[in-house]
Amino acid sequence: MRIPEHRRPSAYYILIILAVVILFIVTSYQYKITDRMFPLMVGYVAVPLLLLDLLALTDSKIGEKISVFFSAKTPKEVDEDADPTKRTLGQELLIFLWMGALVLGIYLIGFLPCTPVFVYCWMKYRGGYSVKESAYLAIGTIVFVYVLFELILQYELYPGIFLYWYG
Amino acid sequence: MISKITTGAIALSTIAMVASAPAQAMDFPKKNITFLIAYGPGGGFDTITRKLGPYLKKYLGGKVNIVAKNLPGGRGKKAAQFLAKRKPDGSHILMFNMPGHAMPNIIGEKAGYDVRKIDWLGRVAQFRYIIVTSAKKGKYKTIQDVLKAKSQIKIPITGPGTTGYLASAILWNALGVQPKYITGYKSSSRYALGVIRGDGDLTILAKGSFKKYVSSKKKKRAAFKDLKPILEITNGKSEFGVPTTGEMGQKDLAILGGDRIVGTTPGTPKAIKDKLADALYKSVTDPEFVAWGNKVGRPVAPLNSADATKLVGQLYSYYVQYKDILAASNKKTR
Amino acid sequence: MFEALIEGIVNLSSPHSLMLLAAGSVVGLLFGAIPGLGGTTAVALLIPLTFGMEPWQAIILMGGVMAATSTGGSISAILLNTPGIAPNAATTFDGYPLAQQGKAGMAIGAGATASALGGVIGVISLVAVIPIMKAIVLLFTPPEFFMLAIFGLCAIAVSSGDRLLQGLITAIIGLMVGFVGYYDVTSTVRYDFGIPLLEDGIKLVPALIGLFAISEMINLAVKGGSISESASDVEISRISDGVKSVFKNWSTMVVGSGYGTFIGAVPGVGGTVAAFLSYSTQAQRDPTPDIEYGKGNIKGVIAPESANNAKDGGSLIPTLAFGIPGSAETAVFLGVLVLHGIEPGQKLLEDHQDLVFTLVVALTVSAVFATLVVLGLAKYMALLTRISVHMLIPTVTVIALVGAFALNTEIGDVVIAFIFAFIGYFMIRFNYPRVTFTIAIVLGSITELSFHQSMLISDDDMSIFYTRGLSIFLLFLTILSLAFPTFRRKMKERKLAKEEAEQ
Repeated sequence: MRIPEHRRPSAYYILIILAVVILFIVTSYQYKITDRMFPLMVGYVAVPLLLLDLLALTDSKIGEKISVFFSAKTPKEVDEDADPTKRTLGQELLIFLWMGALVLGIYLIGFLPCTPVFVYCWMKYRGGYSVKESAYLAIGTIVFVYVLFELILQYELYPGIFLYWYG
Repeated sequence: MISKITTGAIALSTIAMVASAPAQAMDFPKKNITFLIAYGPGGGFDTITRKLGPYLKKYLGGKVNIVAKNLPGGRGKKAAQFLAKRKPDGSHILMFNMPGHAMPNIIGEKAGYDVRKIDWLGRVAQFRYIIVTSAKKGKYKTIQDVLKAKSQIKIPITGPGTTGYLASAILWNALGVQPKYITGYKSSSRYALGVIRGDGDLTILAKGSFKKYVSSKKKKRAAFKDLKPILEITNGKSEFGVPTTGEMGQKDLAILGGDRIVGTTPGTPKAIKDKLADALYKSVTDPEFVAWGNKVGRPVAPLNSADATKLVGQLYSYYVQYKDILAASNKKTR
Repeated sequence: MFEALIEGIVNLSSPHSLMLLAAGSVVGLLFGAIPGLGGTTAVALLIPLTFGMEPWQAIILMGGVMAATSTGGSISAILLNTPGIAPNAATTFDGYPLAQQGKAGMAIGAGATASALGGVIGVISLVAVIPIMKAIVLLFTPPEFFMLAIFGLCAIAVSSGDRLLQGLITAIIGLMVGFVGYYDVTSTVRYDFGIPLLEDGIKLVPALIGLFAISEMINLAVKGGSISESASDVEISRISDGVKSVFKNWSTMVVGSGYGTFIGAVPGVGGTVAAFLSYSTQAQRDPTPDIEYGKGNIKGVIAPESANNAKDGGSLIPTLAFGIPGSAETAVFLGVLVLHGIEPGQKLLEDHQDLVFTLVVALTVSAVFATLVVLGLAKYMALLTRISVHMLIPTVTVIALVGAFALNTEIGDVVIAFIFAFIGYFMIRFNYPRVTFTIAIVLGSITELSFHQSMLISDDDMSIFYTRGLSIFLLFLTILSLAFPTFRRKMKERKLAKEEAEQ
């Protein structure tokens, strides 16, 4: 009973969820009975469901049975249904990094500088647009954000962690 | 002649003010003042803060705006903490919910502010409680019925540690009744509805909120459609012609209720504080504002800065007696 | 009552009133379409504008906003797979697949038309039930809330179709997310891990922004191209097809509106649940669809959208009967009334019937007006699906993050949106349904709270759940919905057998 190569990422995903669920169950025990009753119930239902999901990925007879029971499809049919896009971990990591940098930037120095910089860099370096095109959209976006949120709606857009507490 | 004297008097008082106040107070307010709201839009605090803003602007000279800003979070703690960490320049003010905002300080929880250190500007409004039962489904028609039943009473209420729960606990403890609480309602209007539909027998309600359950066409006692008062917490005469806690010899209980007191960042220069407090008092006593309060069932209860500060002290020392009840209901098991 | 209705119409018929209504409607559309803003924010931000107005003018402006937001929210749900406001989440199920197939115009047309008709039906129902609305609100006590939540949770399972197991898993994670924060029954703060932000629980809107908007952008970044994959060779389908489809499937729209009104009337449950139940009921009523649900069936847009707008009428029922808001939007609306010296609750209906009907008329007209605006612009909006992803990704991401911040001006919400963007991306990648997650966040806390309250009321006697009229009915519905997949499979088999026999 093993999990075929192409279903491995799905299996890792399930294992991560399982770890979170176990953390959740362990945390629950520090609360009073009324407070932990429902969470524990939910947590303990999650464990077998996740294990079933994991089993359904294997190339065994049981796996096939589980898959057919829940989805009326064999694992092979499920494979065929899956999104055909090829995804590489490196590619995904790179995009997470871009997004992470944006959020970190917003946290540190606020929305107003980060917005145009992010739009410009993405257009220029990921989209391959010219300097001019990238700059136009960057300026357009920041003007939209500034006019709508700061001027019309009178929000004080987050200015970054330093200015927020000490400004 | 008269005008000369007046001018002279103004000139003199101006000189006196310049001499006594630090320079920065003279041109206060220069920037917009943020009137923080510790809860989301739509509730009582939101409404009264927004209504008060324009009056404050008027009495501060009309040059700067009073910007209302919701900062909900931590059941009100976030806004108070934010206020406490501002520069003490009078640029931020907040209407505190007392005693709710004092609870973390009383039980020694980390709160990021201390109500004993806040610079208090004055009180805007207050409410006191009545006990109500369902007009149609109520099993206990009078307070005597309740006192006889003792432990079978069920009370729909917000969670342990909230102002409403606490007031209930202190009240029934004093009257020797051990009710069972049905907790979890998110607001007083929700638990009032709980009583109307028969989830429980009776509950505690602010007088102002109660009035919205009263039919307006006939303002007689007979016209209470859904909820019927059975006890009023006051040392005075009952507004609704029901027994009062004062008559039952429980004078201490009259402090139970809620006070909406405006404060600013600790350490604000006295001149700025005085100017804000003065404008606040004038706003709260403005006939137009008073009329509005009466119309919507939220009558004003102005107190000046000194009296408000004293009141906070009294509230603190009153509730601190019940620290154990409070802490027990607020604590996690960890 | 009739005189009050006339007065309402008169109030609205001056050019100035119509301008106010149109302005409110446009603001509502815009705020509905930008994730994170929504109707509550729109109403709150417009409050200062109403200071100089007469109460009925303020009501017209606010009515205009409230009736238009969910119509606006459907646009981003369809085009970007991002519900503009939470109740639009169910619209993404079939709306986005339609956009991917190049049929964005049709989906927007159907969504907007269903919104308008749903809105009108909701308002008519509101007027019809005014005499009995107190009784309706009083029907729902904690045991009924519990049964309603259980019914919703079972509907989740059923509507996941062939990803049932995965649907259940995401629902459970959604429930877990719903447990985070302050619990009203015991006043305990749970699963906060010492982070102050988590004390109030994970807020639905930033979570949704991450789960739908940003995760979709990450997904597009990995995939490349444009949203509408076949856009270059498929002409943007005719908007009128969408409009027609609503009339063709009128029963879907009527049932959806019924859900919206009914569930909208239950305080604290609201539009998200109404739209979702409307969707899952539709999927169940139609066991042999031409196009599978979740893969671009137009009825999957009509059902939630009609429920969405009908709930505006429904959520006013508890507001008028008891002064208790049926939704966050109506809560702020109540604040506006108080600012204008009008006390909400029964008094409103007794003393200010003209104002109530002004609102009724404003809601109706605005729902229709917003729809006309959307239908007029749908052609241009649909072009969004053809834009290159490298222009779409950075702009949508940034604006979505600003939206996440703006809701509570809380930077922590931006971080929450970011974390949920990851979760959402992996759900897309491994084909786990995301909407069951959303609905579970909402229902989880209702289930737990109403269960504990029921037990407190009944002194731990479970019979409270099956000895009351409405809860028995809800229990019956639950069993019916669970039995349905088997029934549906049988139907399918029979249909196949029949087809084979015919051949």
